[in-house]
Amino acid sequence: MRNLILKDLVLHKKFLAVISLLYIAYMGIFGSRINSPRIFFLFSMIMSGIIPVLIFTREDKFKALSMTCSLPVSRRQIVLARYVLGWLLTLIIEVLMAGAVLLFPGSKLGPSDLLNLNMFVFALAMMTAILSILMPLLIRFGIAGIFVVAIGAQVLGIIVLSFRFKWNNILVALIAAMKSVFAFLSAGVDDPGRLALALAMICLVNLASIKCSEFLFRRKDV
Amino acid sequence: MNSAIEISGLRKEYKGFTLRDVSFTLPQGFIMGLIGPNGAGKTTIIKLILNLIRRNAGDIKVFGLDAIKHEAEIKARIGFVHETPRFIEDATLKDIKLAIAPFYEKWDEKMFRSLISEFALPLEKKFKKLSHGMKMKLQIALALSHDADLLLMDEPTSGLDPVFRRELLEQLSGLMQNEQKAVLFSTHITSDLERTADYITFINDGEIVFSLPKDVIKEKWGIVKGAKELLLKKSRGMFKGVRETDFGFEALTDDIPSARREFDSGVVIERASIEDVMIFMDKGGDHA
Repeated sequence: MRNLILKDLVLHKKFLAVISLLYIAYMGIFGSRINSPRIFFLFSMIMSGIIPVLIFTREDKFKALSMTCSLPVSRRQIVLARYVLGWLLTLIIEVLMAGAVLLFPGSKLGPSDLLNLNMFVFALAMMTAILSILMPLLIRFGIAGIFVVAIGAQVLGIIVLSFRFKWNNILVALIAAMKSVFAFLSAGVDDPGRLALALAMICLVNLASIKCSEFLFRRKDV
Repeated sequence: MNSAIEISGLRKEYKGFTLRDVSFTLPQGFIMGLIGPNGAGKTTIIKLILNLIRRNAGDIKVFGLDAIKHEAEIKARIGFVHETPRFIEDATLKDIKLAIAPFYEKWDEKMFRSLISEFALPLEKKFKKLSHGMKMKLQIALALSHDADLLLMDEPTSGLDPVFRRELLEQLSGLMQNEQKAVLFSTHITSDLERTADYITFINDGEIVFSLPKDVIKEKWGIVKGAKELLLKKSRGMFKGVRETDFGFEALTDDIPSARREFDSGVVIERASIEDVMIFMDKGGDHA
């Protein structure tokens, strides 16, 4: 697995450096203008989560997956390496983005706003949400998988808006469920029980996503 | 004699094409050439051995191990050359080497450097700046630099100049000094097979037509040439393929002595080249 991660870092190093610098600078400016750490983490996590996704789409773009799959590794190892690299890059870039915000002159967010357990768990939850949805589609369908997510989300939005009256009860229930998850994350995880539950949920979702990706990748013809 | 590759009952279904009941064995210490027309299934077989695509049925054993269960272990002993070289386009050759080498315990840096210099490959150049021939050379250098026991090469000589092609084939033959090694390569260039292959496997429309030692083909297979009147219905059945013209007929036989007995001195019989075999056996062998 280590070799697979190193391979991607070596082969995409220039792209990674350029895109990371741009994103970090952008989030540094954006983050220094707002006073809500939650909004900062919401946007920065989306941006930092996109970076590993972009790297994997490059392999798809250059049709280099057959080379990766010809190396002495199993399909399972390839999937695991992608998740680990995804998490590592997202976390490292997130830390650098947070650092950029703190160092930016006149920033409205201070160290205590960003460096606390609540925000850490919130960031992990955001990262999980992004990567666990995108990775199985990306691993199975490549760049087309990302388009499926983007277009699918828009189509879903249109459908929901079109049938908002007919499906009112379902929608209300769904919104209530999302609200309770958000309230759970917002209420803080100072209580060890809540922290354990939040971390267990995050692990479970990631595990389910990995298993789904493994299942899909085993069936992929390269 | 241990086998490097053992394939039995292999099947792969695509929409509009099916690879059917493919079975053959490549013993260690030998080179096998996989030939057949475009779209016959040569690349599909190589991809199935590398587990790049899923099979619908059949077994593939490499060095006696199941190709799926022992995937990583087997691939560590395989050097591969794909028909179309694909790497991250904006990576330099140096980066590609840095990325690939750690996967192989037996990576031989000295060998790689020597091949790179022999092939005149510029390490600082980006992959996308290379010609097709240079890209193939890079793949070949990578495949030959980790002491692979089995080389799987899909059209390795395509896009290469004749001088380099000859050198590569000599290099492959040289590898066979070690009886543990084996090479399976697909090609359209039949002269490459005449020069190096020990076994020829001919595939047409997803089916193996034959898999034989080259010497057997050279000794027993021939082209029978004669007047049209000699080609009776019963004689036609003994041929693998027949081509009729206004002046007479040409037919491929896999049994020269029988053909001599059948036609006596009324025909001319010449040894068949691999190219003859390929042309006569394509599309069932009947060419008007």
